[in-house]
Amino acid sequence: MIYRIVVLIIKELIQFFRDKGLLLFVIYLFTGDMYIAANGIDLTLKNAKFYVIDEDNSFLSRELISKFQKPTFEFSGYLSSVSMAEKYLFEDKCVGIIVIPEDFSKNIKNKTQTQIGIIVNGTETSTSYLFSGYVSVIISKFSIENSFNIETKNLPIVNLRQRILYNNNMDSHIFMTITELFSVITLLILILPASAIIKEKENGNIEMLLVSPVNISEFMVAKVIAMNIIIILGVITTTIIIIKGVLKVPFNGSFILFILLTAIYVFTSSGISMFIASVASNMLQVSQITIMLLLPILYLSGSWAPIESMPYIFQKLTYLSPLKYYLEGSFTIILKGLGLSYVYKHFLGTFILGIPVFLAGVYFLKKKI
Amino acid sequence: MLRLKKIKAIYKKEFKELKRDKISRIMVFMMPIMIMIVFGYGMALDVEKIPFVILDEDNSVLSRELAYKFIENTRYYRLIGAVSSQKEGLKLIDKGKIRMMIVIPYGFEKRLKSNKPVNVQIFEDGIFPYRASVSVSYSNIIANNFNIDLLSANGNKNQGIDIRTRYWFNEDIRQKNVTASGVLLIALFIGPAIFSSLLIVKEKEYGSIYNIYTSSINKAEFIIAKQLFAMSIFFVNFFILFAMTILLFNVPFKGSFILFLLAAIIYLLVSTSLGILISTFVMTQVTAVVGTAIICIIPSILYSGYITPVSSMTNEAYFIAHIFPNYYFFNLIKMSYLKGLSLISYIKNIAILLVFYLIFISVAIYRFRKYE
Amino acid sequence: MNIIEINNIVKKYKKRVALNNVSLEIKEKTLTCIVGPDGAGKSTLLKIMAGVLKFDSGKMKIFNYEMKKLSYFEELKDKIAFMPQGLGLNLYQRLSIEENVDFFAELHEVDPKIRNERKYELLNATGLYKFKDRQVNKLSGGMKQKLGICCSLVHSPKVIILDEPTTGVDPISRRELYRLIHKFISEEGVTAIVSTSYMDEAERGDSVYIMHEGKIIYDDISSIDEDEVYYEYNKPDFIEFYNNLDENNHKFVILGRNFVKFAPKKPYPEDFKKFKFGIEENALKTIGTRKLNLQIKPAKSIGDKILELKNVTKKFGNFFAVKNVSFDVNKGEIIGLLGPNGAGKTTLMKILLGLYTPSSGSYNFFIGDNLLKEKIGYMSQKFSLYSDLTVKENLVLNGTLRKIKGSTLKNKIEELYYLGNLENYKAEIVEKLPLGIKQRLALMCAVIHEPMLVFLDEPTSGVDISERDVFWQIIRYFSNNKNTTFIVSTHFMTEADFCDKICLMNNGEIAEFDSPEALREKFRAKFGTPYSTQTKTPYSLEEKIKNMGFKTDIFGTKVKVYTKDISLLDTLNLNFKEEIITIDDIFVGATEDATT
Repeated sequence: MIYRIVVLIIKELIQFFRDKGLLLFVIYLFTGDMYIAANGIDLTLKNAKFYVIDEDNSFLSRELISKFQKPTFEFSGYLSSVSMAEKYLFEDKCVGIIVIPEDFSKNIKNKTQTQIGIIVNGTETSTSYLFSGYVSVIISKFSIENSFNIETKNLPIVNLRQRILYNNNMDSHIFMTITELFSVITLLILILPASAIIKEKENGNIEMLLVSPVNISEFMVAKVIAMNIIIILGVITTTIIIIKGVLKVPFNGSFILFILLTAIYVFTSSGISMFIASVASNMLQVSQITIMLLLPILYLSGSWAPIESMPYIFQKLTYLSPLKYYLEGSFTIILKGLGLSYVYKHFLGTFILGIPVFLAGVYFLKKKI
Repeated sequence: MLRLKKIKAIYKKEFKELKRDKISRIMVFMMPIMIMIVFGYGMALDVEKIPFVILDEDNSVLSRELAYKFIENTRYYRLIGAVSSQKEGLKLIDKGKIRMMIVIPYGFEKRLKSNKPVNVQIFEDGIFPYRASVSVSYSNIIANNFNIDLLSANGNKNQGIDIRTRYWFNEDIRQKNVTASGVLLIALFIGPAIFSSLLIVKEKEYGSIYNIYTSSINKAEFIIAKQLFAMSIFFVNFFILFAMTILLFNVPFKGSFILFLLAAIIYLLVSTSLGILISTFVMTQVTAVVGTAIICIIPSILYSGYITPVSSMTNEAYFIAHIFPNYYFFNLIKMSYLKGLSLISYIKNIAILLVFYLIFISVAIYRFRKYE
Repeated sequence: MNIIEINNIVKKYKKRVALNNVSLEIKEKTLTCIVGPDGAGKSTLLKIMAGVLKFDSGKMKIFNYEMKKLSYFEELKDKIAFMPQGLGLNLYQRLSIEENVDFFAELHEVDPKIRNERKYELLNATGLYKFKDRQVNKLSGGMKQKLGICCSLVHSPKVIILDEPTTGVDPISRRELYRLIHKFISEEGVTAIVSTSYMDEAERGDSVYIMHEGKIIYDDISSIDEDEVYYEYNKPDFIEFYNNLDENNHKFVILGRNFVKFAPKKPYPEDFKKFKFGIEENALKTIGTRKLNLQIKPAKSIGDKILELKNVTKKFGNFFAVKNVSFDVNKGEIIGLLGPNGAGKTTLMKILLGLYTPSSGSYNFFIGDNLLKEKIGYMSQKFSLYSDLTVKENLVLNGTLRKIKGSTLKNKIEELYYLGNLENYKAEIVEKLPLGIKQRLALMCAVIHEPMLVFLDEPTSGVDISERDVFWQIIRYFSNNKNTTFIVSTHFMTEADFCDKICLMNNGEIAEFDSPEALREKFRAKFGTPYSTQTKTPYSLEEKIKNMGFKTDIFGTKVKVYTKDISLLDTLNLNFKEEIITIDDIFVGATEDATT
């Protein structure tokens, strides 16, 4: 039996490597796609362009503006009127506009209250939040410093010393790269086994296998193992070449442990793919069902938005996404550099959720064939 | 000259085929709805209820006051409890139980009372950088308010600066206004592109493409017929999605529906012709699906401005964002739903989309061969 | 007038030469048959004529226009119809018969009124009218081909190019297809070009081109050398005789069911039955046959019952795919399953293979209990090996899946390379091979574990005559030497003559079950003897004789008539020649009889 499975696995691998088009796409996913995702998106506040309407035009107001520095902010220039501001915001030329009133420096010196307006582009959802937050902090610090005419470090106040664990510079691309890798893995697990099975179904190969002594479980197990090998090979090469090499993402934990977790995840989640294969009768359907399932799995894993900020029902539903356990476990391993005693729960989660999914997939597919 | 009868023949055939294909028939309409629900409800980027612990080594009135400032801010922070050592708190962060720990040092009150500044250490879980940066900014604001109170209490009269923040176009900063309406950007791009590329590739794969090769239908007629069919399916989807944004997510709509409809049609022209263009490069349906998905997902979600503003992208990314059509349609969406219409800007974006369409469709027609 | 003229066309696929200086002329209002094995270049030639493939050099004129560029074809496309190879591949599987025809009509902008008339006429002529609402994916292969032809004819083209329309189609449907083509030639002035791998169909054409390895090796009946003769040896020791023949001294050697056919290079001194060369022999001469280096045992032992069927019935909904089928199979026998498409042959096989459970009735194998799957072999109708693997990989896969390992496997595979003449293709990706070679490979995969009972579902569809001969040598070898039992379904009526027993199926039921000899006698008793006559107007003559109440058929310029008393046709004043009863005739007789 094992011998037969091995033979079938080899067959599967040969077939995969012969399909040049598919091979190319898979390679792209593990390399180019990873690179684009890492460099394209930064969810933290970076280069936030802003304009200033400076009605005061004083030394202090210029001083204030100079506090907004790169890489968080990018000062784009002065505007003369609110209607200009409206136009610029409308055309998405900037994230926000700071309005400094006429008597700004006078009020500061007199220690009377002064107003500063921040106009934020409400259509840039996440950024507008961050922008107004950061701007507020800088302005209030500035006001404290200037109204007491002493440097903040000598004032009897609380200074926050923030330490960002695991990712000192709040480097967004680390997060993006790793989650993109997980998305790629998930996409491939869902689509590769299902499309390989559908192909055999369409060509009538399955019929031949049914007549031969091969039983259908061997056939499926072989397929899943073969696809696992492909995906894990991809993960290993990407981790070494792209993630560690090109993108210089730190890898703090045990590589072996990470690959082990990946293997469990890939193996158990391929049950979903078999389920897809049992429902679909052609490639069009495979693709559609895959996308239907992929999106919620990705979303519910917390790879797009932090789980805490999801609506309550969605927070509970996240337990159904096998990717959640894998994602959290992997981050713990890769970034936190922690060992099995910390991630055993994620292993268990991946496993316990995965096994029924896998068995159900096998069951449905067997029934269908 | 395009012959309508030929286009109609292909169109009718596709219609009947889809009618017979139960799963595809349902999927084609269910998929965009699914995307709308997941993104609309799910893409909530507001970071709220960050779980945290406090390590209060000072245990004084002032330290409790500072701690209370965080605790009372229940919208953004959720107190899990107090810990007795840094180690304990860090372990909780390692386990993912909490995201932040505030360490108020011994002698906190004493230093402040003797007019000296004091450092408060905050540990943030940096796995999800966005969450961390939001949390950093919240905690800074809280600390600042605390400081101002502190200084005023010490007799330092200071009215400080009153910061008035206004969120334009989305006054009550409802994320859903943007995330839900933005789904149109994604759903009307990925779906039509995959669907239309499959429409052509399936004929290649099965062999029925010979009927086209050997008939007098010309390339443009064939491609346009396929495109029209894909368009009409997603035209229906557009209405479904539009209704969902208005009725389910209560997104305000400030623009003109007719103009928005026109924009959506042009956007569909772009996405379907991109799908057709991709189909001229591939031979099998699997590669068509995988290829189209890869080409479409990244620009429509990441480079469109849906998640991060295009204006703050770095040079490379800023450039990429402009060479994909999604950014321009997103402008049109924002304009129609939230910002209100500006005719000049509308025409500009529409014109750019049309250019994309013309390029895609002409390259597709040029590349499509009527022979083997 | 010549509709198409081709001069010295060359077409290469990368390194492989698909067409090597091919020249031909197609006359208006004729049926041209292009005959040849798979991979001979027929499809390439037809695609070039249909304007869907570029050629490298040479000249082509269609309707007297020289086709310098593919774009020149665009204006002609409504005048040319092309049906690609493969069972109904160009049809839309989810659409019904009627919707398919409508689509093709609309694609060519046929006026709806004319379309409806034409659709009715075409569907009636092909017998598809009553199924007009059925979806294509529920049709049998033959029905799909007929529909394919209807679809290509619906816009009244001047030229129809059909790539292997009869492959995988039963004899009745084949006759109908050709009659249909003749009808359109004589009634509408259509010019038809048909490619086929059935050598016996060559005669149905007004002109014939035989292709082999990218060249035309034979282009007219008149080119047969009158002096060439072949011999037949049919004494009981014919197998010993065959085993001892030296292939090198012969133009070809063919082992029949109970005779040996051979054409020596030098005249033969002994007194055997002598015949003149026909088209088939002429092709065989060029292609050459391949006598395997096998010592076939002269006689085989028919053993005990190995399989028994009792009232096996399979219903799909209300439709009886197989109805009350009972027969016994003895060890060592070769059973031929014949029947029109949709007769239930494949369903029956799938029941016996355990892929379907019968609705009622039972069957029993007497093979030993639990090792059934180890002891049967199966080759399915649709080519079903892994087309993205190489020949070797497929063999290794099939062998190892059946637990053949190491050196045994290696030797076995070497033996199969030899048997299947696959030595030159070991490392080729199967997908790129011609169908005939694929089928041989499939057979090798089916027998790799030396099964006791082998099911072959239309194994020789698309394989050329010389290869078919090899195919049957292999089957004969396994049957005689290894006592293997075969159940073979086929459309090649000549192949039925290799079987020990023939099971004729129709509408899911058994119409006849007997040895070929017994069936011939039965036919003669019922319909009489076939006679043929040469004519210039076959279609109208056939109609005339048919109207006189005789059973008839058209073969190119010949009309065949079946009668017990030929003197009844004396009034026509024609010269009739007696023909032998083919299994084709028996088949058509038995099934038509059952339906009417």
